[in-house]
Amino acid sequence: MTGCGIQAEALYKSYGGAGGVAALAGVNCVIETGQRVAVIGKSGSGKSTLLNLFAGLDRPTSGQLTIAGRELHSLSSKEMARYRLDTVGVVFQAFQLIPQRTALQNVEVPLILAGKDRQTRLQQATQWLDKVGLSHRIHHHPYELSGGEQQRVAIARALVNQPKVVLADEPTGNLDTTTASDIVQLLTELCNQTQATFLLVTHDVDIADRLCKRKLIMRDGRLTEADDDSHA
Amino acid sequence: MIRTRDIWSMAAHNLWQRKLRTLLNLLGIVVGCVVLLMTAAGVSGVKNAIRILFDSAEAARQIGVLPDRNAKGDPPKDVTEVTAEMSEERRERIVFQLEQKWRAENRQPGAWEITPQQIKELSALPHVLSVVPGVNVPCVVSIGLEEEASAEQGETPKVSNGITGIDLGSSLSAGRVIAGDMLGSDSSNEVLLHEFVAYQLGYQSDPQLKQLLGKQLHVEYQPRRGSLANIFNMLVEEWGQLSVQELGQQMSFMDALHQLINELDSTSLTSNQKQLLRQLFPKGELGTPAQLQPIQRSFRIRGIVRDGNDDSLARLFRGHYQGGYGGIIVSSDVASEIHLQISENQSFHEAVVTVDSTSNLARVIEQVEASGTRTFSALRILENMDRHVDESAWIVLGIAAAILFTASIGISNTLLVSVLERTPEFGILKSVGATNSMLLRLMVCEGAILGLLGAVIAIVTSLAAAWIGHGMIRQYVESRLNTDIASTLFQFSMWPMLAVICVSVFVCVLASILPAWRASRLDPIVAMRRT
Ligand SMILES: Nc1ncnc2c1ncn2[C@@H]1O[C@H](COP(=O)(O)OP(=O)(O)O)[C@@H](O)[C@H]1O
Ligand SMILES: [Mg+2]
Repeated sequence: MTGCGIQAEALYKSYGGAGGVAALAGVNCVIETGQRVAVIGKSGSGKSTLLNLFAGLDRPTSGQLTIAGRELHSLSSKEMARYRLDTVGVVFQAFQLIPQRTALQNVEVPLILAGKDRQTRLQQATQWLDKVGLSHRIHHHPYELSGGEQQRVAIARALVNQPKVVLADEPTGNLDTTTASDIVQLLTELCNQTQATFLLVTHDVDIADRLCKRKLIMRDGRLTEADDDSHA
Repeated sequence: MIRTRDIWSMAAHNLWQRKLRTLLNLLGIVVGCVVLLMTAAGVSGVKNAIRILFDSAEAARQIGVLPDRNAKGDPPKDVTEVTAEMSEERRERIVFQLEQKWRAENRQPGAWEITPQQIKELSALPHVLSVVPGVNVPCVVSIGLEEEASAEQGETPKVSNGITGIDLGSSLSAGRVIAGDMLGSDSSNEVLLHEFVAYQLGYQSDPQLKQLLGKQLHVEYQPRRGSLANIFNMLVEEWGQLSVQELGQQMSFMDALHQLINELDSTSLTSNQKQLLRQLFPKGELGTPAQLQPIQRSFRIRGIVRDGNDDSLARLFRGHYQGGYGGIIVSSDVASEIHLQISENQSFHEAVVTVDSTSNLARVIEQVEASGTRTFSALRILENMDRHVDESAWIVLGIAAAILFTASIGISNTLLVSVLERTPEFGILKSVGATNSMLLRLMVCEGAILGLLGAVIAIVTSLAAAWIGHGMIRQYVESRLNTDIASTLFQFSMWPMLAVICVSVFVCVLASILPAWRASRLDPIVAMRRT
C-alpha cells in the first residue's frame, strides 16, 4: 500500500455529543493513490459526513484517517487549513461559489490563499477555466451563469492547486440530466489527465458506473465493497 | 502563506462590493474626525489670534515696575509662631498676616527707589523693547509770544500741569496725536501738549490748535524743596543707623544738622543732596531755609495729544498699572533728566517696561522681580484667556470623541451584520484553505481601511471647511473687535492630522475585532449550508 492514498480505520462520527446519533459507525477502507472510487448510498446514510472528514472540514469522533501521508485526526486547525489548501480539492452539490466574485476571481481564491503572485494566478485560473470549457465566461458573476457553468467553475477551483485528492459530493445533484451528463464527462476527462485520487459521492448508480470502476456502498454509517451482483 | 498585500486587496474589494454600507460607515467616521481636527486646528489658531491681537495692544505687553520695599525671605520661626487654640484655616491667615507685618517692619534700607542703574539693567534684559521711568514733575507753562504780541495781549495765561516722559517708539503714544506730529528721534527740545492744557492756555478752536504748532512753550519747575523728613533721612544716613532716641542721647538734632552743614564737603551725601542743603542754608548756618529759584526751560511745540485710553484693548487692561499722565509730554530721556535734576536721591518711584511679545511677558516679569521690584501686568488676564480657550477645547474634543465612539459602535454593528450576511463566503474561503487568522486579518484590514479612508476624507473636508469658515469668522471678529486678524484662525499642523489618522484607524480596528473574531470561528460546513 502506498502512503499517498486514503486509509480509514474504525472511523466513528456522531452528532450531538456522546449519546447522539452515529452518522458513521466504524468505517474501514483503503483507497490507493490515483484510484477512482464511488461511494453510493441512500440519502442520510452518511456519505457527506464521510466526505467532509476526507475533505478536512470536520473531525471524526474516533478512529484514524490518513490521507496523502497526513494523519488527519491529529492535525491542528492550522495544519487542517493547509491540508485543504494544497492536498484536497472538493466539488459540492451546491457549487459554493462566492457571489461577489467573477468566475475568474472565484478560481483565483485558492491561488491567492497559496500566496501566488498575480501574474501566475491569472495565468493558471484562465488555463483551468479553459479546461472546463468556460474561456468565454471568465468575467461573469455566478448569478450570470447556468447551473452547469457554475459547477464547471467550481471544478476548476477544486483542481487549480493540483490536489492529490479530489472529492465530489453529489456534483450533479442540482443539475438536469443532460447537464449532469456533461459534467460527468468533464470530470472523467480531467480525472484521466490528473493522476489524482478521486472519490465520488452519489446516490446515482449510473453516474458512479460511468466514472468509477470501484464502488463502495454506504449503509447506516458503514461502508462495504460492492460486489458485481449488487447493482445487477 | 497568503501575501499581506492580497489580504489588503481582498479587504478593499469587499468594501468596494458593498458601496452603500461602506459609505454609511465612512460618514460616521468622517464627522467625528472633522470635529476632532477642526477643534485641534481651531484651538491653536484662536490662541495665536488672541496673542497677535494682544501683542498689537501695547498695554498688554507692558509691565509696571515699583520698588519692593518689603523684606525678602522668610521671617524667623518665633515670629510666625501661633500657639493659641484656633482652626487651621484661621491659623494660616494669622501666620500670613504676621509674615506681612514682619516684612513691612524689616524693610531694607537702600532698596527704596529704582535707580538709573537699575533702569539701565532692565533695558538690557532680552525681549525688553523700552524702559520708561515714571516721571511727573509739577510745572507751570505758558506760551512764548513775540514782543509786540505780548504787549498787545498783556499778561499771557499760565497753567499748572506736569512733565511726563514717553517712549518714542510707542504706537500707543503715536495714536494720541491729534494735531502736528509725534516727537522725532532727536527731540530734546520738543514737546507734545495735551489738548486740555492747550484749551486752558486759550487755544480752544481747532484752527487755534494748529496755530500752536511750532510755538515755544515756557516751562517752569521748582527744584524739590527738602522736607524736614528728607533732611532727617540724610542725617540718619550720615550718622549711621541710629534711632531718634539714640540720636538725641548723643547730641541734639540741631547740633547734628549744624555740624553736617559745616562739614558738608566731607560727607558721603550725593552732589544733589549737598547742593540742596547749600541752597537751603546758603551761609552755612541754620536759619530759615532760603526760597529756591525755579528752573526754566522752553520747548518747541511739536504736536497736540489727547488721552490715550480709548484703545479698545487697552481698556481691557485698564485694571493693571499705568503711570499717570502729565499734560506736558517730552521724550523719556528728557523727562528723566529733569526728574534727576530736582530729585534729591537720584532715583525713580516707578517705571514701565515694554516687552516685544505677550508670550515673553512671564519670562521678563520673572527677571524684573529678581532685581527686587514689584510688578503689575496683564499676565494673569492672558493666562486666564489661554486657560479658557483650552477648557472649551476639551469640551469640544469630548464631543468629537463621543461622535467617534458612536460611529465605532455603528461600524462594529454593521461589520457584525456583514459577517452574518457573508457567513457562506467565509465558509467557502475556509473550505478552500483559509486559516482562522487569515479571516481575522481580512476583517481587521477592512476596519483599518475604513478608518484610514475616513480620516483622509475628514482631513480634506476640514481643510476645505477651514478655508471657507476662516473668511466668515474673520469678518465677524474684525467687525466686532475693530482690529485686523493677520493670522489664520484654523491652524493645521502635521501632528494633529497624524493623530486623527491614528485615532480613526485605531477606533475602526477596535470595532472590527469582535466581528472578525466571530468570522474566524465559523464552522465551514455550517457556514456553507446557509446558502
Ligand atoms: N450537522 C449535523 N448534525 C446532526 N446530524 C447530522 C448533521 N449532519 C448530518 N447529520 C445526520 O447524519 C446522518 C448522515 O447524514 P449525511 O452524511 O448528510 O447523509 P447523506 O449525505 O448520505 O445524505 C443523517 O442522519 C443526518 O441527519
Ligand atoms: Mg449528502
